[in-house]
Amino acid sequence: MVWLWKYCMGVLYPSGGGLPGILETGVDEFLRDYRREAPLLMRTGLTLSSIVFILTPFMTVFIPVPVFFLSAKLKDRHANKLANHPLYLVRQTILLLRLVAGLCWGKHPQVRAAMGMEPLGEAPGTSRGSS
Amino acid sequence: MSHYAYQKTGNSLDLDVDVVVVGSGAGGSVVAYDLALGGLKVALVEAGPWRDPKDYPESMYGTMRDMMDAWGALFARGRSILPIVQARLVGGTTVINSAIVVRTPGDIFKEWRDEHGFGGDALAERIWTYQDQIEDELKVGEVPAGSYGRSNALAEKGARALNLHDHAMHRNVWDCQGTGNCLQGCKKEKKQSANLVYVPTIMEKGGAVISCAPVRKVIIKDGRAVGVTGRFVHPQTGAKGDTFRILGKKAIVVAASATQSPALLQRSGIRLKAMGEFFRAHPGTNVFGIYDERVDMNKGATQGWSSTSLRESEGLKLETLSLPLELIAGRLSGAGHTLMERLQEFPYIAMWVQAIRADTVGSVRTNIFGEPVVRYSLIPRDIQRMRIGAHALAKMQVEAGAKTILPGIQGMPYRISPDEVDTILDAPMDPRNWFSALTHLFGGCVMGSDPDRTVCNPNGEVRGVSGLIVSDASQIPTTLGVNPQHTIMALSRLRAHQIMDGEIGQVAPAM
Repeated sequence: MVWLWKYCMGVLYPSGGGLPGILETGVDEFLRDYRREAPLLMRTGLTLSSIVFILTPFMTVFIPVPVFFLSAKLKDRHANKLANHPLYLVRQTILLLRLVAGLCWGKHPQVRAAMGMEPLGEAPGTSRGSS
Repeated sequence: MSHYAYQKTGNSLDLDVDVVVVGSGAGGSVVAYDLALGGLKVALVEAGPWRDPKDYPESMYGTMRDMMDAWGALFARGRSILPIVQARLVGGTTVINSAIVVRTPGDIFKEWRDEHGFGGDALAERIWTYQDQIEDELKVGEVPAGSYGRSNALAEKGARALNLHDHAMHRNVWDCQGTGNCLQGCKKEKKQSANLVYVPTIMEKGGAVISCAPVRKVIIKDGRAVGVTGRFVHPQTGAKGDTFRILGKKAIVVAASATQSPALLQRSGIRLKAMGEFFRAHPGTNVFGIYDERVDMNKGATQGWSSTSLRESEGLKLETLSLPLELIAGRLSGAGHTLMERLQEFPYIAMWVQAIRADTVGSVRTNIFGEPVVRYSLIPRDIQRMRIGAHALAKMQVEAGAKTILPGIQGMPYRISPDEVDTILDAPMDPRNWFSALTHLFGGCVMGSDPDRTVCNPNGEVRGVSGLIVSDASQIPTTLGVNPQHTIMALSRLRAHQIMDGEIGQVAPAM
């Protein structure tokens, strides 16, 4: 499902205005880590969120095809309308996709440099053993 | 004694101690520390791993993976979905909170006395005495000027203009460097969290720390709590390890949080009418201001300014909160190129928040796996409070010089100008329109004098089970309207003294 997550995140966080898009921020590695490390509930949620994103252009741009078949301009409009959709559950579903993508995008050194921010250190994942 | 981390199959752990303490956050660490200092043999059992500051992540991805309960995916369910912020590691939420220290307000003791049958002046005096001691132990002090940061300074400026500035923020941070990393754990070791202050002493005094050890059940025999049992969980893979069984002769203290403690007692077969009921919280929402000059809100104390001037009149606490870029990216509304345009403004944003002293009451039940399920639906009176709080924050932003306000409320414009802030008072009343989170949690195992409406008696002892004591926010029957860490710690010190004095704890079996 990594390809699906990546596709959706690419539409949500495109490059522009001097900021790198998520596809330029090591999203492949990030999603591989996410698939390996995140609990089942989080992975399932992200997949459901992606499926909703792909299948709902009929609710936003009123074209009954999956997102793959939309023009770049319509994809962008679909993403923005879905994120602000009046139906709470639809909005919430997309929120998870946006939040997880934000965790990847916002920690990347290139993004932080574009914002005038210091790069982040590691997340070693280590802990104290028995002693 | 020792630290026992994850034990793989074939290495089951059996220990016998005087007191078992479940949970190592603000409540459990203080109880265990005091009992260990008092000469008792203590086992401190923590569901998460023991991470030292060198292990702390700097990214929010790492924070959610390594420090949060369920990756931050614990939610309260109701008309809207409210994220619950809780940590799962040695030191508990004290590792990832903003270290705010506020004494228990005097009116709380009156409320407890009048409505719950305990409290009053005598308890107030005792709690405040303990809070004096705790402030010394945690090196509590004001945020130093050098680490205040621009967002905090702007908030103070805006609040002063509106007569809302009422006190300097006190935190358990010594020599703050203003790195803005409170939420990820302070790698500079300046935050005096429980894992740095209390837990090492517990071990020095002969106590045992058992990490990666979520307690499944309290062992109850003939109406007496005699121990706890569970199975180790690997801190990285989540793989199940061997079992542990820890017996306590004098008492079993449950301090696993307002969500986990009621769940643990329910899993342990304790059936009381009030079990899991009267769950309360301080829901929070935020308002952004955009300034002409850079704010760089992640430079300086994460939460360096707060006000309780509207606590009594409106039930509101106002404060700053600097979220990292990774979370703001998901918090600003919109997607695609619209979102990217909005994110360009990040360096110019100041984020301030309100926490409301909500009247909403929820519950904590368990699902088929025994995990907590929190139900909580904000009532109209609390949404009205949110309107007032968001309006106050927006006015502060205007007074501080913000050129644009982002109310962050679905159904309102993304941006409003300074002369439109009064429209927030007419913001939608549907909780689904508000982006809110629960940070301070109370209840679920509440204490009080009425046996039908409480889980614990006024001394925190679980009704009907000898030697089982609750010592965390789940015993608190009301909201506080201030940060609860200090109150939880002081109540825990009280419980430790009561155990040592023989006032509470194991009753000898009938001969």
